[in-house]
Amino acid sequence: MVPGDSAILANLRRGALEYCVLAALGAGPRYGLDIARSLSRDGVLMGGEGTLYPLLGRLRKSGWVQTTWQESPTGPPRRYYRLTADGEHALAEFTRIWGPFRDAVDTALTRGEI
Amino acid sequence: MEPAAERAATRYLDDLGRMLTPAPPVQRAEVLAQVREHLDEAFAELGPEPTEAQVRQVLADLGPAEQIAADVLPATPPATPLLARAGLPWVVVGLMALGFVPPFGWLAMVLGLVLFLVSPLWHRAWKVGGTLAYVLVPLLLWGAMRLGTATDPSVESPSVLMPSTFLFPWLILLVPLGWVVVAVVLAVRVSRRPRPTRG
Repeated sequence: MVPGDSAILANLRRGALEYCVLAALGAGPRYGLDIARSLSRDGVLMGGEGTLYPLLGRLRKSGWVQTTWQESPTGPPRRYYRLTADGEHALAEFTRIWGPFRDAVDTALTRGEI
Repeated sequence: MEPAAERAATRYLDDLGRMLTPAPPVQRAEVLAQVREHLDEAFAELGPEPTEAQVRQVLADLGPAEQIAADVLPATPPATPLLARAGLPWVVVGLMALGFVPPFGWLAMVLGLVLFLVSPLWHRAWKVGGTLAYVLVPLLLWGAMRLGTATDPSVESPSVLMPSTFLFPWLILLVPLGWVVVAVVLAVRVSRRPRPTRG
């Protein structure tokens, strides 16, 4: 049986999405809705904005992100997420490995060889 | 929050909370709070009187509660059948080893052989080879015993199928030992076989 688009995307997201969340925090702290919208804009990285929150919980538990509360100009206080030193290190490691991995996959898919 | 949006948010969070009942309480509370904040923020952006379509769009963008719950709750691994458990080969070895124990050790040995034959852990070729070894080991020893009997001058009639006094203790020892060796070899082969990993 050939897996459908959503099954393939789900498998690919499993290993990469958490690092995309870390990358989204690379420029500084952001709140949940802001992160969710930027990552789900094209529907590729996240199927629904809500799937961000279990992921953020796991990243916080791993010590890769921390949360702080800040006042919001438009409504109630916001929970902001920011990278920890371990999170920055994990993101750097993934970024270093991702390039060769992506190139190898591209090569395999386009030329049928590695 | 506008009443229609508040009702929609409450309904969504109630559904999500119900789905997250099996989750650890701290994790459940954290996810519910995060989603609540997300909805508060999204509805606040819409102004004091969002339309029904806008409220629906916020919830659609958030995605189904089932999807969030599925990401929180660990996938329950399918239960491993009893006869496919990793420890079964060593149970078989243990039963084979009990074959040494008189007078009913042979019952354990038979049970071990049955488990070996019905377990899905071994390929058919291994089962055939293992069973043949179980039969061949005693047959070979029995043949050797007959040969020893035939050449033993202390035995008056070589046609009588009685073990020689020299070979009989070795036979008693070697047959079960051979079976245990075969069982250990098969158990080690199973333990070294790579197992499928879950994604």
